[in-house]
Amino acid sequence: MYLLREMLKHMRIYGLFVKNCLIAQMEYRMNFVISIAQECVFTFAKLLYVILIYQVGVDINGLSPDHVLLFIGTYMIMTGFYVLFFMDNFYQLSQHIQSGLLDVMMTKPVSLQFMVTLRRINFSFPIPNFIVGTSMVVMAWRRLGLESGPQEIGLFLLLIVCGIVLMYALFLLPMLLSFYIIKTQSLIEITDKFWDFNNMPMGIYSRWIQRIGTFLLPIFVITNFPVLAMMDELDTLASIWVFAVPIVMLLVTRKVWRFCLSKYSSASS
Amino acid sequence: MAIIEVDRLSKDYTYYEKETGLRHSLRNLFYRKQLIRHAVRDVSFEVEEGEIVGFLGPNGAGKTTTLKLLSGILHPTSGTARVMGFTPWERKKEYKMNFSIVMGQKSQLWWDLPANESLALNKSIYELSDRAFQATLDELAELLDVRDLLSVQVRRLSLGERMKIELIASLIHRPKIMFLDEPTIGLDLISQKNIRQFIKTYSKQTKTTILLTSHYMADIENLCKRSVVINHGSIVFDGELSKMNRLVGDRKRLRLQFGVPVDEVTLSRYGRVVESGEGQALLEVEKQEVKTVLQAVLDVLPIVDFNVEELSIEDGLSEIYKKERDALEVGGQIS
Repeated sequence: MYLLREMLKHMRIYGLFVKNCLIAQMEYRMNFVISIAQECVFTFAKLLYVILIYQVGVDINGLSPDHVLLFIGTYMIMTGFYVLFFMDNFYQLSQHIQSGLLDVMMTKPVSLQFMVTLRRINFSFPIPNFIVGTSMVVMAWRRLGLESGPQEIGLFLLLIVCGIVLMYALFLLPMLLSFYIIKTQSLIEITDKFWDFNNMPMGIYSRWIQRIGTFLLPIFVITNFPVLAMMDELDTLASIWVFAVPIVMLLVTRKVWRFCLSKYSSASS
Repeated sequence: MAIIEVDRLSKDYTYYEKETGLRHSLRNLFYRKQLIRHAVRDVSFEVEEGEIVGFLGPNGAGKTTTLKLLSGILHPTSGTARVMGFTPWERKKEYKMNFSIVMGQKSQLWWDLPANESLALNKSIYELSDRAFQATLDELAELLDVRDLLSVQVRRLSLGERMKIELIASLIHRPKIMFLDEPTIGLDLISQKNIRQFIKTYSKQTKTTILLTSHYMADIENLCKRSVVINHGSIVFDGELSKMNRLVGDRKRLRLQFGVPVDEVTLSRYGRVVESGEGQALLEVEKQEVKTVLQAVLDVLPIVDFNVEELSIEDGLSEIYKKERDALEVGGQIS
């Protein structure tokens, strides 16, 4: 009962975060527009890969250009979700520690991890990602002649949700080092580069990299597994892993978060 | 029973020393000499419900660290504290629902939004009913005279106006205890006075327990019957501010004006020269010697006017700081 009440309270507060961020971002109209334009350029750069693959027209490790399109489309949608829900919060964690805003948040009767890691929602950046990504997935889906019943689409969406949870846990983890090293610009660069491993299907990498990226640093699970499931290429172990790993990583991140917090030394007044 | 009980609370920080220059920066990349700073040392005190206690001390004395420990932001190195029966650094929700902290240099308001939106967020955070929220908001907005400012974007408010809204945001859930860390910092005199007046009226009306730190003596003198002077992490005085000067000895100051200038060496025969120059001087003497010294200087020196003054609280404070620093330098410590 207590847990349910707390969950409802946090959901209500999240609703207010969404509203506040929307109001705040619309306040700066030009910035809103420029952000969209900037992300359009990035998205176009990623599209160049797709154009290249279609022009060459060969299969890579048994994947046709249409398959690759499905992978890249999913990767774009997931990038959109990362930017929408997490990017600003994760980038700002080290700023909050430096400015002492974390102190203020710490005294509020809500989950601090919730408050710090989910407070900002970025509405402008992910728009191009969502539009282009979804178009690519729909196009590839049709060309490949994949089943498109409610069951298939439902499973795909469920795996996207699992991917979002996993993405949160996995990419928050390195940011928690801010508690120790304070400035995290270099860390942000590295994690961003790791994310780009998903830019292409995991099938193009060697077996070892695939294993590491699935079990040790499960970044491939985020964008590759929903597509592999649609292609019916997930074995039993992978099918269990895709649901288990978000929970495992969430628990690990929670533990590390608590540990870091107990060592927190606060900024100067 | 005391609402706040602090027993031998200590907090140490580790930090690194680095001398200026690129050479030292390079060396620092490989080797860092770790040092320990005792921000708070064996601090003990109690606060009764409804009391307003002022924390005084120079920068880095440990005032803010003490408040951060009591609000659960920091874990102590040793010692215990009980606030309303809770251990602050356990960060229990019930505890957080009943206190608030205002830090003069940190804002809890959303910069790009009207203050109303931040207050509405606090309403949900503190699980307030519409009626309770509106009633408190009306009352506080009235007291602080900010009704028109609530719908203005926070970044467009002046510092003084923003601090008033910060206070509303911190009091909207009617906390039993309030920690105020430099609430008047950077404000002009009128704003300082307004904030002070508000705290005074509010505490009188609601009997909220308040712990306040400030650099401005006027804040403490106006608001707090009891003061805790803290320096180098330790409490050096705890009591009524007016009685603090007894700690540095019962002394008075003689302000003298001369017809012709008198040099400092001559003056130092009669007492401690606090200042001298341009035909005037300030001498500090023991209270029981005032009469004798006055007679002597009137006889010998070309006095045209004089005045006997009490030591101001600021003077007393700087004396305490100086005395303690001297004691530390010879390896001891006053308590």
